Amino acid sequence: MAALIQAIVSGLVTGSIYALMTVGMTLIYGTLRTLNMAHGSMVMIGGYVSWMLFAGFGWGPLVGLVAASMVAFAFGIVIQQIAVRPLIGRTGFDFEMTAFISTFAVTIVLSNVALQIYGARNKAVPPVIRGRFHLIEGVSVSWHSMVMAAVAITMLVGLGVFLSKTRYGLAISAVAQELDAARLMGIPVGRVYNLTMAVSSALAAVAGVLLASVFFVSPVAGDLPLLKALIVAIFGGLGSIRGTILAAYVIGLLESLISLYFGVKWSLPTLFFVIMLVMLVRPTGLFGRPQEARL
Amino acid sequence: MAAGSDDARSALVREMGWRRPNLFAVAGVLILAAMLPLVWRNDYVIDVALTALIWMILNQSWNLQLGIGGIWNFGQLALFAIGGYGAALVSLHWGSPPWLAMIVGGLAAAAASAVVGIPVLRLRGIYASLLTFSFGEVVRLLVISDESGLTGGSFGLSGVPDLAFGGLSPDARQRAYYWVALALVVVTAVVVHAFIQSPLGTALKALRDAPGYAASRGVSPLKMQVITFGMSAFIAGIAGGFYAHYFGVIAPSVMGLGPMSLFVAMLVVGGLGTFAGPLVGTALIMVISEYLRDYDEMRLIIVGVILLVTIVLAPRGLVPLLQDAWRRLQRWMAEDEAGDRGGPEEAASDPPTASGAGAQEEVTR
Amino acid sequence: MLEVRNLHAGYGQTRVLAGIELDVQEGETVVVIGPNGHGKTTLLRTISGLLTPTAGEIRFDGRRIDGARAESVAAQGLVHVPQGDLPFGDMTVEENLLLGAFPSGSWGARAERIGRVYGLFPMLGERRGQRAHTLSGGERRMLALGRGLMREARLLMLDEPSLGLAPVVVNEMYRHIEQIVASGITLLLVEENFSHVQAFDARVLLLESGRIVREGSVSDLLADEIVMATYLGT
Repeated sequence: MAALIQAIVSGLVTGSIYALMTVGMTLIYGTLRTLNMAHGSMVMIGGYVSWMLFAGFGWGPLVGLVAASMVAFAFGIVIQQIAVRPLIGRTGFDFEMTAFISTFAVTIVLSNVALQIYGARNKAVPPVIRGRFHLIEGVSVSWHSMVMAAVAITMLVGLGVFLSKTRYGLAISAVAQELDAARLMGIPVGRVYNLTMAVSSALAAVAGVLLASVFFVSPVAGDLPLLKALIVAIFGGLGSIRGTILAAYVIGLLESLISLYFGVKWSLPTLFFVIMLVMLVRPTGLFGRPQEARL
Repeated sequence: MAAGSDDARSALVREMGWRRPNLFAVAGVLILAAMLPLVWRNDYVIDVALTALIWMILNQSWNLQLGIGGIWNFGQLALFAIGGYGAALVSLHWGSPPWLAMIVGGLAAAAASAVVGIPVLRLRGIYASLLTFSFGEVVRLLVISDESGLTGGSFGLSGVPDLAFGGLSPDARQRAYYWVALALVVVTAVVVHAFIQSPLGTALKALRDAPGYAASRGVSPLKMQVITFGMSAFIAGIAGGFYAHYFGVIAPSVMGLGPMSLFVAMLVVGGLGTFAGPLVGTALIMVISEYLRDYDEMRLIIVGVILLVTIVLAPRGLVPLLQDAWRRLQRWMAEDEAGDRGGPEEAASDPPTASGAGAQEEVTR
Repeated sequence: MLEVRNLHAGYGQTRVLAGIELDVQEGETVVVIGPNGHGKTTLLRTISGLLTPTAGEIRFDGRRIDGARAESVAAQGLVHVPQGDLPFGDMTVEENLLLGAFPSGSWGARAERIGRVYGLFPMLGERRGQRAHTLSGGERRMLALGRGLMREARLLMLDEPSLGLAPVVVNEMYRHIEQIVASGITLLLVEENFSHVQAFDARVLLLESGRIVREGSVSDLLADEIVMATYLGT
């Protein structure tokens, strides 16, 4: 029983992180119709920024969070400008697949540049607070996990406020829903694209900072997050933020429970088969809507 | 375009760079390729060339799905590996003749593709990409974490027996492998070409470009894609089996983001959806990769940059670019000759190029 | 205010506009009528920048806007209320309207302007918290119109405001439009159906096969029997 509760608790924490990691990807798809394969690299970059500040100056994760978001914000704009923007509006090829491949190329470059600069060895970053918090007999959560969940949830709420209450936040939603109408309102679409990529990348980097002490920092630290983010995003339905958040928690819990009852090794394959079944029934994910290809 | 008429079909087919290849050119290239191990007696070079040939088989099969079928399969490497493991296991444990083992490998891959194919083929583009991509990763991770000894875990299987060449000197053995590989490349090319030229292939392309129209003509998407997918998986599996027999090992390191980036680069740089694309692209990237052999990390960075630059500046790849240039050259020369002779026909047979005439369409961008 | 010279535009290989010449003076109301598929919507989309012309010039307040991006044309005060309304379905009525005032010049005044729009369309005010995709056809049309009025429009372009609406709703719609016109806005209106615009003191252009083939005042065209037979009561 205690093990079950423990699994649920850690599943919720995992779910929060997945939500933070993935919401950016779904936002990008909603506005840019691009599956951003470089999203995992942003997580990796978050980890490295956090490590560099710690190893270089002894600065803790709070500074890391701010710095990583700023760095990733910049990266997001750069990636949008070199890998996505040149493809918009051109004919003769399938935009979505091409953008998929171009962002894929970006991630290859970034991973290998990180490999070149930092080497393949894992770097370690200490957690925000050490120690665990004991809920009941046999159930405990590390303080760091609670911080992770708290930060993740705060950022998600912040994103929600941004998207529904601010001028540019509404503009992002507008571009995602009706591109032509948005343009007719004078919304600068190029700037919205940049902003979307930047914000999404920053969120991923924050996840990277949080995860840095749980997993190691390395050039391939973005690979698994990318896979998880893809799974969550598509399960929840690309473009739907609500769907993504719900999917994140479902998958976090599922992973936890599968690990508990079948062993960690089976969590990913089982997840894959679950996803496959879901896609058979709902080909566009839980809340996804069949989108018109339009870029 | 009134699909169904021969004119329309050959126009369609030509647009993809699938014109009947100049047989002299093909024969010439083949002869040169076949002579390579005789002329350049360097083990290492032949090894690299052989590897390139194996990748050509794989990439052609991949091109069939990605480029022509419009199937977003990013798990092809897993199918390749399944073929390799299948062949390896069958020859290691059951002592099958390697030729048979390779076929078993191909069938294993085809079977796996059926499992993934059923959900994948109903999904739209990127959703399919996710499923196939995660399929590939799941297979890879499952193999790595396998402690049962069946797949040898992250070390893979070794000691895979030779292709029954018995009693040959190492040099001769390598040459024999080389020529078998070359033959496989040619067979694959012929099969793929025939497939595209067949009504099946035209239907596939119509499906990719104008699904509504194709549906109205009674073309069943699922059937088409299942056949394409299965065939492509079979070929990939054969390539995997061949790889296992030549190198004697098969390990999970053939899968994953690193190798995949190389192959995607080969396909894209060459030209997705074209006939010669996978061949040209593989050769080019292999050459570049070899030149950078000494700079290991830089190698992938540069390949990544090449992929990025190509996909952004010339998304259709090198082969269509060269074909456009060739066509323009021919037209220019034809104009030179005799004023109005050769003009209208050339212009009419020009398929629309990506650069377009004066970028007049902004539409809903 | 708006000058269109020799405008050609189309989609891919299809040519739709074949040399449009058009002028709209400040304060005028210009109505473009004509059969469906002959280019009326394409004309508006080319002017507002959603479509790039293949030839010709468009000048707005003396500045060339042909080939300019829709965003910048909109920011210059050209408001295009498109066919089909294109509401932001998941957003509330109020959010939709607010976005109408996106350009920085209008954003500051958005509270005042939204008040004005609610005054003009009280029904929108009642539904301000509702998601746009739950609105009926007529309500969506008014939302689109209201959204367009959130900016100081130098030129307002309406694409078939009566499309798909029941006659009663159409009448109400046109009463609103008359009010808007009365406030002095320059209006370029596209309609297939001539009957609604008879009450306007407007210049009417007949667009056929991508060209303006007939021009005159409302009474001129009313007197033209061929036009009447074709377009009245369609």
